[in-house]
Amino acid sequence: MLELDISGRGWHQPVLGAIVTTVNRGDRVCLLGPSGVGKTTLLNAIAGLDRNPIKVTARSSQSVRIGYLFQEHRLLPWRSLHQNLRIVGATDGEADRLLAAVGLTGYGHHFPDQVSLGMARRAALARAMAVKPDLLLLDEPFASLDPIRAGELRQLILDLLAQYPHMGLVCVTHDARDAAELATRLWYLNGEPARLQWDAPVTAGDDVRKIVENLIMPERGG
Amino acid sequence: MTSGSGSPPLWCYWVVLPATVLIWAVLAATLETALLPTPSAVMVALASEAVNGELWRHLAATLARVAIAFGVAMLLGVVIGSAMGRSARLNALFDPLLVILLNLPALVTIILMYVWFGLVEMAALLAVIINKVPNVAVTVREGARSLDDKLEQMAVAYRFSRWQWLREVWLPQMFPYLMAATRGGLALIWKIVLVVELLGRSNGVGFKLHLAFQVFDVATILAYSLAFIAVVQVIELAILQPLERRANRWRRPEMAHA
Repeated sequence: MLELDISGRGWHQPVLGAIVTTVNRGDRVCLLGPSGVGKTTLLNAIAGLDRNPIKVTARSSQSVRIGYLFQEHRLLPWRSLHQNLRIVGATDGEADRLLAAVGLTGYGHHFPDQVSLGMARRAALARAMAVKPDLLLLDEPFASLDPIRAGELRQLILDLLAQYPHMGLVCVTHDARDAAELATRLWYLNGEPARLQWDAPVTAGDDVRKIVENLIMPERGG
Repeated sequence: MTSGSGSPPLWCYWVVLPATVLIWAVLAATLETALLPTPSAVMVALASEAVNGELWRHLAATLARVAIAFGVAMLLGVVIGSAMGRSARLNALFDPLLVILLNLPALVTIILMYVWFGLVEMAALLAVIINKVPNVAVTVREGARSLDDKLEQMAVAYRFSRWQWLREVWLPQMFPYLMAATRGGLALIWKIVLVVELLGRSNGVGFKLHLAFQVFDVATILAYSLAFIAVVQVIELAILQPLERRANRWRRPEMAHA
């Protein structure tokens, strides 16, 4: 569905090195890598948000609609949750349904600053789904949530993935358990400039946790 | 309401303002001079000007000039200020010019415009606009620099149209700055328009003050001042404050979820 061809070129030391990979329909990619290596930069590159001196060629068979859940909710603070969904193209009914799907029935008229961090993130997830994405980008969706809320959100994302089996996913995470529950493919981004040092599908019987822990181990050791 | 900020309670106005009028009345009655008319004499002057239509004619002329100059100055100031906030190169080009214009006395601009273009309406408006644009540009530049990059990225990722970006991302963030430019702008433009009228127009409140000044008609001068203050307050209370309340609704967070 989406062929990525990234080559870091420019005046400064590029963050990302040459990256050539593909995301297919229904692929669920977990993107792992040490902090600050450029995982968010890669997501931004996929979403076409690049202002760094990076040349990104994203080829796709047809135009790929992208829903992006940023680390912060980045909802428009001056618009209610419902209006935030409407602005990106959801109809009235769709907005209500999506808010219900993320457990925010009755909160549609609240402004983002009036709800908790976890609720705002779920609203932002609903907004990402509101564009009927072919590819959903999640940047550390479980960060700074307590384990219970993180578990709820993980279940919510699994439900959405089950509901939309053709949707691709790229999810940045640090957590082996997230990867084990979500991933059908693992990317490990490391180096300077960063490259995909691991880009392989997860096959049945693979112990994803083991793979992830092996990938992450060297950086912990050092 | 915390002490020292915002407006004092409403009753203060109902105490201080009548007290001021009372002191004025006592002073005028004691001095008994044409140079300080009593409040009632001023009201009589105001009423007669209103009845013979002079008041409305001159107020309307002044208001029209204020409206045109304000509109053009805001438009130019927003365009220039936004460009300066975004581009370091444009900022480098315009900033030295702003330093000159910001420090140029309004009176100099007015005289120059009248000398160069004659005592015509265009010269009058141009003088007011040239005085105002730098202030708007500087305020808007601050706003443009404070625009949130993260929301900009969000707007790009979600394919906001130009219009959506303007309305949903730019305007709400710029609103406090535009409001400051409006308030400061109106306060400045009112005053400059009067001087422009006094020096080179044959209608408007400034022209009328000029006539009254020549015959030391203090009652008429005060009558027009009162009418003027009333108009400015109406604009503040009927337009600016409701606009601000509407735009700031989202700023009152009442946690729905602890």
